[in-house]
Amino acid sequence: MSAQPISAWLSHLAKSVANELPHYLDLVRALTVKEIKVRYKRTVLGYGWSLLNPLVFAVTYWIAFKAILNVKIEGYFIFLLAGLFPWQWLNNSLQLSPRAFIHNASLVKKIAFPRYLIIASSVVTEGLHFLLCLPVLAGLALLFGRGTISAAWLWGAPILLLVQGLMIYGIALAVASCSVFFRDIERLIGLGMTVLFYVTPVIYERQMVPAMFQPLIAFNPFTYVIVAWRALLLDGTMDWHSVGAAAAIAVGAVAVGQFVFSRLQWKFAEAL
Amino acid sequence: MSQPIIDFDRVGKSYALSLHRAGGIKNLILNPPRALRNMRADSRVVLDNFSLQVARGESIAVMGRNGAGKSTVLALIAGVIRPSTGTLAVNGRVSPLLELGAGFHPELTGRDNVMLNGVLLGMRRAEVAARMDSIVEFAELEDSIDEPVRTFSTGMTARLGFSVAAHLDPEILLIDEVLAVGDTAFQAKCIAKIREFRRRGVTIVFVSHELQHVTELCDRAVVIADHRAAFVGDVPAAIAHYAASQPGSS
Repeated sequence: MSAQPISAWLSHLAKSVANELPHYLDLVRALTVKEIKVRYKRTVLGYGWSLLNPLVFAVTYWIAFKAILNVKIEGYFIFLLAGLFPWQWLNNSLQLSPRAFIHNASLVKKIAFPRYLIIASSVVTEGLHFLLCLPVLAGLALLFGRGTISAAWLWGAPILLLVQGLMIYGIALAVASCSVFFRDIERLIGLGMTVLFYVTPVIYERQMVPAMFQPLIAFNPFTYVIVAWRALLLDGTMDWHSVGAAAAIAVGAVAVGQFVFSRLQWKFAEAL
Repeated sequence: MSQPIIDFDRVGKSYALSLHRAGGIKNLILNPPRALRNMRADSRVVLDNFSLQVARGESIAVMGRNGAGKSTVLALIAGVIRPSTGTLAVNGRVSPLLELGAGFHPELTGRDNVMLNGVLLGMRRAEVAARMDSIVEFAELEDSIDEPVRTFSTGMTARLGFSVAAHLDPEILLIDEVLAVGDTAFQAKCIAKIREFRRRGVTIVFVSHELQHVTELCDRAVVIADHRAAFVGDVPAAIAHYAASQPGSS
């Protein structure tokens, strides 16, 4: 393809985005409000669950790895939380993604609107939960005297939120699109995320991994974003190497996600 | 005639049957070429060489037996599916009234659902908020609008769905068998509303088995048979053609 059609296509894209953006934002907002309201219907704790989950896991891992196995990481409880909170965002979004279009079948079948916004809104929903966990992390960091509440959070956190949000969006879009046709993918994701959890430096530090297994960590797409979050949340520094790697993965994920989605979306209404 | 607002040009639509089967990833991994071939081969033709032009401001009825492809025609116009062959041009804002209350979530209140549905159908949040009272009033649901929709009867849900759609600002209104639910009084109200849309120059595509409604509301009708537009013309002639094509009536 020559440069001419690409630039024409880009300017067309930019124009249509500018025209549609306010309505798309309204759509994401309306879908997000729906997600949250539906999820917390008839629950007592509501958003508290997204705090309680990582806290309970952190306590469990602390007992297993600190109290029993005596892992050599200082301030291990806060260390765990700084990895578990962003991991929970990844994990929840990706575990929910196979059913994203299936659960909204009546919308997908009956109403013509940009269906990828369903995925965007579920990423935003989980991202909001993650955001609400950060003050709790800061409070606990103060309480335990581990980590710093840094001004770098103010500009570092938005960058990492965007990077992780895009990464999840891309993967979730591909997963959700394929799941419409192959329901097996849901099982695959459940299994995959369990394995990936232990191959991602969430409960240990990257440096602790023996050289033999380092490639496993390096090829895991989730390593970089988790490492970057922990550097920011615990030390108040931006680990640009990891941020860069995570951003590259995010861009790749969005490209793949949009491609898969655009190839399959016209079959959704027939297959659901 | 100026450029038609809806232009089906030799449109074909077939559905891949294997998409409906319990899709297994196993076959795809073990034998990808065959799995993909099977997927393409097994299909059911719904429309074939279907051509139809609808002029701006016209009301047209779509008639045909069950499974003839009426809903497929509406879904194509609404843009939720695409033609397999041929081309379809839709030159206007479509209100997808494919099914009343499509996308209503049972756990959300009527009011929340109106907001969600309104935005999904193309309104801005502020527009829905501004029209909220009028939507609730038209649906005659002032007393129960803040209850979850799962507590609504079918008729109440349909009333709310119609009311949201009636407050859109469409150029093309798609109506699929919606007047079958709701009591007589509300049906009359809906018909009055559809007439109002007609007066305002909105193009209407209407699917109904109620021949009386078709006669009342439509200028023209298309009868779908053998996957094609078997007859296009005025309503009485279309009804005669449709009746003649029914088995056991010739």
